[in-house]
Amino acid sequence: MVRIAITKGRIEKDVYKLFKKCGFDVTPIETKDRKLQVKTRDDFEFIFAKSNDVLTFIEHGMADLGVVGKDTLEENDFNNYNELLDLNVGKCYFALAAYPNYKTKIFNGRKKIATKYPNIAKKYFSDMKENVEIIKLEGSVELGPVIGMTDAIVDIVETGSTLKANGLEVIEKISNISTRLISNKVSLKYKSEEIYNIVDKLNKVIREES
Amino acid sequence: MLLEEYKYLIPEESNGVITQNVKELRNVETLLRTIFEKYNYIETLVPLFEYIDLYKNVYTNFDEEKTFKYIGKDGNVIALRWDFTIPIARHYFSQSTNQEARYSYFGKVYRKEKVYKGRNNESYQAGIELINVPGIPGNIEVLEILQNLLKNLNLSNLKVELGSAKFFNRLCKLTGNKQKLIEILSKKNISEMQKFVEANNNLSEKLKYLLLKLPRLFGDITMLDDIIAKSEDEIILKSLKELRNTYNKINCKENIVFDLSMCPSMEYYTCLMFKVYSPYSPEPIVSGGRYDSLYKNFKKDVPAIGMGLYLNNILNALEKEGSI
Repeated sequence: MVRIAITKGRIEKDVYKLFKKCGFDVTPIETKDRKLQVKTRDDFEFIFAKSNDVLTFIEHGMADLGVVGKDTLEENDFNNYNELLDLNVGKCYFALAAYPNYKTKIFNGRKKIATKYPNIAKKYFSDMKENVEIIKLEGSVELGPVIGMTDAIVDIVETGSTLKANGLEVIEKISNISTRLISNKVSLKYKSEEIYNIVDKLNKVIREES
Repeated sequence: MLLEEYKYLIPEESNGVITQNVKELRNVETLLRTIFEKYNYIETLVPLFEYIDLYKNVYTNFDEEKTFKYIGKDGNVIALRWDFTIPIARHYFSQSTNQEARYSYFGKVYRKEKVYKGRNNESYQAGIELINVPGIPGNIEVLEILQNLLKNLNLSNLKVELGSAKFFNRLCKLTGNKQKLIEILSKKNISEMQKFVEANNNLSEKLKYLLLKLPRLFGDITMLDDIIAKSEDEIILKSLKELRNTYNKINCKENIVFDLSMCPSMEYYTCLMFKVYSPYSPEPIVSGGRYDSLYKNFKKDVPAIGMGLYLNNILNALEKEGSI
């Protein structure tokens, strides 16, 4: 049995399609309704969790494989997993965004930055050798500049339409994000055949699509 | 706070008083002690306090934030014991001779772990250091002790995995990008390796072929022999044949596997590295390796090899397997 922890929401839908294209049994996922755990004919057990919890389950070896966004991997301080494959879906990027006058404005003192990803923001500004004040918001980070609380935001950008609707624009792209297949390190030692069977089939589908 | 509230209030860093599996812990300890003594290892009591600069001088990327520390009487920063290898190395340097030495240890190391993730800040370790027994004879002695104690541990389906820091360092040299290689190999990242090879067209075809396979190069002796047969680079061949020779001389071979993408978990590893896995532990239960250059930092050019056993992981595995 291989237990696979999937990030709920959009990632879950992308992964469902990929596994279906691989020829794996996905019927129990289609009919799962509110169940958090389903078993399939391929001897997989899928569990559905929030992104950071996928990592916690991998860390404790409670899941063998995990499907999670690169954004979560970069923000989380757990690092001891295998990142087997870039699934090439869920593509977006981290960016610094603000009102257009950000580029020319002269700031007195530290800039204030709103973000859901304080570690990413901290690393970005330390690479830029800039000292900023980071304010963590839990969602709709764009509100930071909109209500005048912060000078800019560090956030995930997909289409940029929320930014645009609020008069903000991308000042700089920070890094690319996509969905990744990860594994617990010990699981890979004991279930390498089962896991690489999944990896190979996924890899084939990804290559055909790109 | 009222005194009675301390019945349930304990610091975040603490695990409280433990009564579970203490007897089993002592039994494992006794088993290990008996074996270490049989091989003439001298048990050491290692201090709890060290200058943090000692660690920082040895580990270039030492993560100071993970240590428990305070400012000592002399105004310098003191760290609670972060590992056993460095204090034992310091002890050896303080001796005037360069003789063979065998040390064992039992005790806790103190590292600040993430909160609310079910991790311990105090972890119980046991281990040995074998100093100035170079090359394969030293490797064999340590691996034999390891096999001997694993046999007596009541854990089944263990894997003893060998890797080579020399092989890894050669690849770093050939590609000229150690940082990237660590990033890719420590995560066995197939997609990133593909991108890396495509971006480095100047590498030789043989090397590209090896790199592309590398994230999946772990397995039994046939995997190693296959790569030896296909390799031409002199240092790569030498490092792999060293692994092969070590394997040849091990008495008990059935649980031995190899991982050529193993990255040095300690930057001072120079040749053989090894880890022991149990299907009942999400992390290795033993980790070790040869570190011939560590002692050079202290102006004593002697080779050394050591291993540490993570007793918390061993006890958890024993419990899950139903052996406790």
